[in-house]
Amino acid sequence: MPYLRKLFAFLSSFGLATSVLTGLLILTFLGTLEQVEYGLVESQTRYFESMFLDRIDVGACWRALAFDAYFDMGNLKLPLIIVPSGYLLLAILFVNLLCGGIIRIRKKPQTIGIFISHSAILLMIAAGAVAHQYSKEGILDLTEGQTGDEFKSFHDRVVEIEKVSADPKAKRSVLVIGDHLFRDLTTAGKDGKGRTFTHSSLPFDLMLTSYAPHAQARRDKDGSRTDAIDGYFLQPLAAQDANGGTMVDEQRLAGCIAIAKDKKDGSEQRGIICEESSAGWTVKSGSDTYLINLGRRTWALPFSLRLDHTEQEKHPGTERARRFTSKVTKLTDGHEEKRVVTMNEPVRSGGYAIFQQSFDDGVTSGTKVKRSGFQVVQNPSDHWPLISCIIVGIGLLIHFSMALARAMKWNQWIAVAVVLGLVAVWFGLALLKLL
Amino acid sequence: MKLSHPSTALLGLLVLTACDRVEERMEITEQRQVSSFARAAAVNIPSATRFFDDAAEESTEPKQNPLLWTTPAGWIEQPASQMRMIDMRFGPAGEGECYLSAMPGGAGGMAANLNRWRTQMGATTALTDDEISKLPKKPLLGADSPYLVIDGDFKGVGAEAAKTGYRLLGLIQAAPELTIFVKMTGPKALIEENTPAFEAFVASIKFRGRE
Repeated sequence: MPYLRKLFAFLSSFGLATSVLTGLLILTFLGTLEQVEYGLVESQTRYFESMFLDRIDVGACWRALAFDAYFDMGNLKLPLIIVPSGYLLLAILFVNLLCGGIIRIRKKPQTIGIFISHSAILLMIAAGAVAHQYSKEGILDLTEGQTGDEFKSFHDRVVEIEKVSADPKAKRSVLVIGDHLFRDLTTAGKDGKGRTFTHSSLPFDLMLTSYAPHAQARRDKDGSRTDAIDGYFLQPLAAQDANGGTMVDEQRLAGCIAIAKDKKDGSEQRGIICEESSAGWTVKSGSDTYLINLGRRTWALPFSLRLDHTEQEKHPGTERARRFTSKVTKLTDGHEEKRVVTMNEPVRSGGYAIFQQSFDDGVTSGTKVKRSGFQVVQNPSDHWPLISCIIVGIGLLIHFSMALARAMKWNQWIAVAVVLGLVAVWFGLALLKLL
Repeated sequence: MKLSHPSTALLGLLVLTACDRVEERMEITEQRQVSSFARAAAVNIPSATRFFDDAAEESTEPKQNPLLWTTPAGWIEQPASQMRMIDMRFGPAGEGECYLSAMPGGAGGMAANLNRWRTQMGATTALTDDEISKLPKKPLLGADSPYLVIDGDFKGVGAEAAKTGYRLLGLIQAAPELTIFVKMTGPKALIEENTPAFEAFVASIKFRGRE
């Protein structure tokens, strides 16, 4: 099997490791520069969460380095075809480390520290993949006395289709279309492409088109717009804040055009769906009514949370907030549990961490209603990077203490035992401090 | 070329993964239950209510802007600034620019401003008053205004280098108390394509309260 041997040699080689690490270094540099104009989320998605890099905005990087003070190169974008992005490079690094640092490494007492460290780095890369695939992060907004058991994503948008029941007590469910399936449908003008979504329970197919990451429905005042729907058209807006800086993703309000095409007679209903709207778009099909919404992705919590009371503590003699505290009741299957969420002291339950994120005393906003915004985080690999770092440290301590013992002609196993003993004492003291 | 075969295998894997394209027609596979605490479904809500536009005569443009206009389809509005009362971009990379600005009084005069624009496009000769009077006219805010069309290498205010192959379309309406400028620049082909949109935009500009 010479080919397999060569493939294994390639995958476990130092050359591949060096190339991948260099690639990651370049991606981190370019991604950080592009972040200035594109924002954190878009830059992170393009450079680190995709398999391939589709282009580099050389102009944006140039401006981020302030080189445009010497030469303005304009909006120069470099299209790329098969250039691996951060996600793929980390996957290759994982394979490389597994083949080279675990399987191929010479197994002898002197390499045990390196072996432990490599294993821990694999755990750290795996933690990133698990967090990318399975972590959820969003916001649960509650006013005093309100109960909620869902939280909304900060960044993920979805289109949801609900068949509205005449019975207000009926269980409700919605069909969900993730934004990864329609956010590429951006257009300039009316020549954009659309994508049709279908489901056996729906009497119509739904086409989405003209997606804009930040947009507003505007009234067609003089009736001159050919793309107006029911007297309104979707106006894309520049994602800039009041100071001319890049608007963060959380503040952007996406919109798109939806076309419901009847499966039987082919008749069409068109509507604008956008985040900046007070209600969804209603579609009629025979005697049935459907509601179509564009909004943030919603996740269910395994328990309910009721906001009982909010408190704001101020620095003495000032109006500056020192601490926001929310007294909440956690409701699980009829069981009630009183908990307190305050800044930097989250409530943890069922794999979820609930942080106090924002607070409204009702005075500043003029609503006269007290409100707390809770950041909800679920990350199965939450503590893996910490564990990984500790193991890497122990592995390197073992390796270096053995190397020192060999150089000093000491017994290397006694040196390792002393080092590990010191680590155990340190952990013991830390544990005592925590308890 | 010791690594030719494994490299080829890896390249093939990358190509295969890259070809995983989204189909244009897709089955909806995701579903979720709606919480009993969620707000009731609000159906048949009129567009004006949905888009917070219930005050029928209120405009969605910023209230402090004394102008009303219609943004051409596909153009993207930028936030208004002190210098630019209306500011828009268009084109695949937003390289087309169109804005309206106003200055109090004569702002240096018609000839000086038209020739300033010509200088920005690389022209080395200035138009005389006679030549300016022969420029085509277009209505801007109810009055005929000279319409300048010039090709060249565009070097805007503060730019270090000129952008080649550009076209500038400009209108200036001079009044004793106010001078209004409408200017569009971009690569020549893009400007040619968007000239009808520019003309429609100019025709749509009105003073708020006089529409």
